[in-house]
Amino acid sequence: MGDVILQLDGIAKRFDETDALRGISLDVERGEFITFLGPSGCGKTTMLRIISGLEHPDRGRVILQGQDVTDTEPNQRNVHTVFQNYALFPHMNVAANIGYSLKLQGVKKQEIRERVEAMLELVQLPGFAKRTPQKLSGGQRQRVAIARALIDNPDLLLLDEPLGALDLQLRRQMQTELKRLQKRLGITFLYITHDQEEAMNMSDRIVVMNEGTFEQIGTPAEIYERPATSFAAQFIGTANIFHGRVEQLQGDAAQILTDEQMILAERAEGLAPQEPVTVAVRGEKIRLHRQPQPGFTLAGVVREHHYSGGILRMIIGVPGSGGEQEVVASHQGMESAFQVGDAVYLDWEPAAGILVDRKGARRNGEKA
Amino acid sequence: MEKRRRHDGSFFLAMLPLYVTTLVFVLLPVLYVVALSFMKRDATWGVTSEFTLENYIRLWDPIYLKVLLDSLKIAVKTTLLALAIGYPFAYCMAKLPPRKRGIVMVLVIVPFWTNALVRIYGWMILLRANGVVNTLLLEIGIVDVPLKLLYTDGAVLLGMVYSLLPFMILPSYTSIEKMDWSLVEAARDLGAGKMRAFLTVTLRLTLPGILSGCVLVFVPSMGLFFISDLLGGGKEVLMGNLIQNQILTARNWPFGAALSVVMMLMTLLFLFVYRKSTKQSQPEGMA
Repeated sequence: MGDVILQLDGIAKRFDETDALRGISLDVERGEFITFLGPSGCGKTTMLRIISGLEHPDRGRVILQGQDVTDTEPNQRNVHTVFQNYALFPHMNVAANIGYSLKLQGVKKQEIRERVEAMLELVQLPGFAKRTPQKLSGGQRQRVAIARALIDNPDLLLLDEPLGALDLQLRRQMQTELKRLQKRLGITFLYITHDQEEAMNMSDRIVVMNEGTFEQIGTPAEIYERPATSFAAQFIGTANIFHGRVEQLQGDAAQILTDEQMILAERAEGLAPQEPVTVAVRGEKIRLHRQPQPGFTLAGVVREHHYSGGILRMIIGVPGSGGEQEVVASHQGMESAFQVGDAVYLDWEPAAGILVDRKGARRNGEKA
Repeated sequence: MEKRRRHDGSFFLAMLPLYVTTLVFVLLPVLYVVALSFMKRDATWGVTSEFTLENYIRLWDPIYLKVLLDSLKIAVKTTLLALAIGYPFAYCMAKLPPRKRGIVMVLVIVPFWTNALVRIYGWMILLRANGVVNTLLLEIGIVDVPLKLLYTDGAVLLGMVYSLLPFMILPSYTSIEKMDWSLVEAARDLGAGKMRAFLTVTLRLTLPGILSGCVLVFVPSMGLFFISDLLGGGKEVLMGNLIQNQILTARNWPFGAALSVVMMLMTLLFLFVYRKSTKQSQPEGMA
């Protein structure tokens, strides 16, 4: 374990009748870029507000730099937030906004001015000191908000969907810049987003959140390659989910009987015949054939295909007891060898069938 | 800034009622008062159309200067007191859940449904020697002799603040209600304590409401004569009383008019300062 800067220990918070957070725990290391990814209403923002001190948890502790700060006020924590709407002070110019925290600390005017200038250089807004926030574009406001939060070297920088209001191109550019800035300053970033691509691009680790709990914590590659839950598998990238029962174990493969057909999955530790399982298969791992292949293949019919930027996505209808199940397969390339209505046979390597939602499997951060 | 619309014929025609109303009900009366102030008093009750500055010269008499100063003093006191009560009231009101906010708003507005004079008579009943307050204090045994509450400077101030308080609360409330509270959170997050965050963010951003409130309280408090008459027993003569007195009792219209002009000028000066200060309160630069 490296140098832990922040520990969350069993944080729970209720608002009226809904549980915003159901006892989450996490250790964050110094200098990490960690992203909280989840749909709106999953408790991401509440968690961030608890870390900054704007909200207090019902249960659990927040430990910053080894100190329990759970009951302290926001101004007693060296943690700053970049708010979703930027929350720039409209009655102050850019320089006064950025220098606000230093002014509170009683830093000399001359020094504030110099440090503000340096911050403006850092966020590539030199010469903007005298402008008012109202006269800035969205991207510029964003940079000012970041500069304001970084100027007094916080232990943690919390970013609540900071790029949400920007258009796609600007968002991509800001992603790169933010990541670079974080590397350069070595400040720990806790970043909230509901955009999986953003999370993938920027993070050292991703925390997948759903309904007030952590579904999975891991590096972007881990989460993509080895999703722990069907939620994580479907929220990050596309995954096809099959429910079935273990029929037979053979070598490093498990044969799984879904309601109509047999499919292959990895042979996970402790897997026993007749165990009910959920299998997640990434679209790009699915192979398509004209003829049934030796071993097990899933038979289906091509329903749709569409091309989107180098990737061809095919939607295949596979018969099931509750009607047709849609399976999405995606491949590099432009043209499909299959026409809509063609019969198609699917298979994949056993290792591509990832077992998710297993009982007893570790669901990170969850406590009774 | 919107560009001024071109004044073609149809536009002028459409605006005509406004112009006429303004001319007849605002401009002409003001001009009449100004003209009166430069005239001489007639032996009987009217005026002679003879130009004179004597009404303005007479203002420099220490008696009248004192009236002016007293009026200013009470107006300032009223404004400050109304601010001290009205702003926190408006702040708490804005923080209430919407339903309760509505109820409180109605309570603030209800007094307007009753004649102001009647409400001041109500205060007289409460404050007089054998009034409600004194009876209560005697009953409980806090005092042995009835306190002199009515016909004091305090009673006048009380009546003024009471009458004008809604004019402080409403504009303050409007600006506080519009506050973006995430800005206060941002200030707290950046290291400001509750008080610092209030002073550097909330207070600064609600300043326009505070200033409007001050104007709305200060300006009428110069002219409310019946409060000082009823609650102060007419001992302390204020500008409003003096004007009323000159015009209705002494029948000296030109001098009353001159006093009115002075009051209008003072009000204008106050409004000018207000305009200036709200313009400057926009972006705050860092030196």
